[in-house]
Amino acid sequence: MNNTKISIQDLVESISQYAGTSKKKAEDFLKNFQAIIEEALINDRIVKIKGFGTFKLIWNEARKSVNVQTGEEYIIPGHTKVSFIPDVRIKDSINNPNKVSLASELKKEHDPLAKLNKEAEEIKEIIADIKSMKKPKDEKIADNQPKAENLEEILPKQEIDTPVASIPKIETPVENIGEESIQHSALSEGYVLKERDLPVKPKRKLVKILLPLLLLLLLLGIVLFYFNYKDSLIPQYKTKLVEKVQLITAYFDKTEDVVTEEKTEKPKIESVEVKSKPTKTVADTIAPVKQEKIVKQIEEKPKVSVFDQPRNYSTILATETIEKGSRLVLLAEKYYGHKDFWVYIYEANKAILKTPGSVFIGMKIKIPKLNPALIDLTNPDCLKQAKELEKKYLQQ
Amino acid sequence: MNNKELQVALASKLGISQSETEELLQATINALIEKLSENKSVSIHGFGSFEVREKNERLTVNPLTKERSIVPAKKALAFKSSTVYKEKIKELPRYE
Repeated sequence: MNNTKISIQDLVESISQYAGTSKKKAEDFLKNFQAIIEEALINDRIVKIKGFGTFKLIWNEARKSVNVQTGEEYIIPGHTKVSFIPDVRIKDSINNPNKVSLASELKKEHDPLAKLNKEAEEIKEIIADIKSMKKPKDEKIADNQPKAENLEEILPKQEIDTPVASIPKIETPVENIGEESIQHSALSEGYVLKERDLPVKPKRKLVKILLPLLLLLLLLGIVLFYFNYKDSLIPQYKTKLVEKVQLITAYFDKTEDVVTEEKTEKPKIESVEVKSKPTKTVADTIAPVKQEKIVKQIEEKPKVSVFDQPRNYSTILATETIEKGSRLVLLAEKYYGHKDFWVYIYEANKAILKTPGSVFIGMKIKIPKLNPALIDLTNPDCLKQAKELEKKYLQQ
Repeated sequence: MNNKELQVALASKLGISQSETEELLQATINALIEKLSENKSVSIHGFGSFEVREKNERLTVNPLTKERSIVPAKKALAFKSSTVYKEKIKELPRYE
């Protein structure tokens, strides 16, 4: 190990480089730094330096020792000595000095800039990928958006005209779009926040270089987000489009006279699907399909009220004997596919279970057959309902 | 004394702002680590010296599982106080 000693002069030079100040200032600082540590150590017995380590005074107990030459026993009196415990971060930087530049490594801890830089590089790569596919997508977006917007404008009018079952269906997609735009703004806010969090401290030079970089990064981030957002949106728009068009056509079939009015008002829709309208025979074949749709919508209404109906546990799917380690939650997952539905098992077994917690080994638990609409995993309302019930029972 | 107090004390002694002190302190630490990681020992006159020591790999036994494992060789930062400072400290009373 070539352990060459370096003088204070060398150290001072290096400090002045790091801080971008004169050597005189650096030397002055180092001297005071040393003096204060020495002083504080004697007064406080502990000095912590962030990112470097901790100095501590510890007491060494008196102990016996033997003079090696004469064999005489003597006592080393108790004394205080300095102990130094290096900071954890230092261990890494000393063990792999080549891997990372130490200064930057230490800074990383405080400096989100370094992180952002990394992200910027990743994003650049991704964008390079996207650019290759950019053109066709752009066209798609251009095609889809105006249609969707047009439909949006049209739909409110329709709501006024049609007081029947189609109204709830129309409302939901509109809400969804609102949510998406909120998410969008929230995410872009996240970017702004990150920028705000940046410390003002780090060296000014660095800031000068990094500021334009950061701006670039922000731009890139927004562009990237735009593409991601679009990608995820296009299929949704498509499905929504289809739904809406179907609704509109269904409506057309019902009230023929209004159709003529609407035709003149909205040429856009016609280009999508309404071409078939003038020829009545085709419209007739489409009609039953549309009516089915409407029936489905009507069916959905009672589905919501399933939660309010008194639950019927007369049909038993299976009976489980409680063994070591089995719980209602696990049974619920096994039979209903989600652990939150344990509340229904509990409800079915209220006769033997006083509280949800009073499940003992050897108990015979009935697993009720539930209305599939009640445990529909795709319906968030089901989980919500289960959660609410859970809250209620756990409070008892 | 923690890092904050150290900064305050340094700032008041040097008559500079705290942010400047923090910058200088960070620079000092960076400089120290840079020198140390080049396997150089840094001695601060009158206080002590810092050096990097190499630790050999060693065997450890997990007391629960009796499993033996090897801790790889590594480097560790060590501080050795100078004789001058040692003498200063030595006579301090025991502190509980």
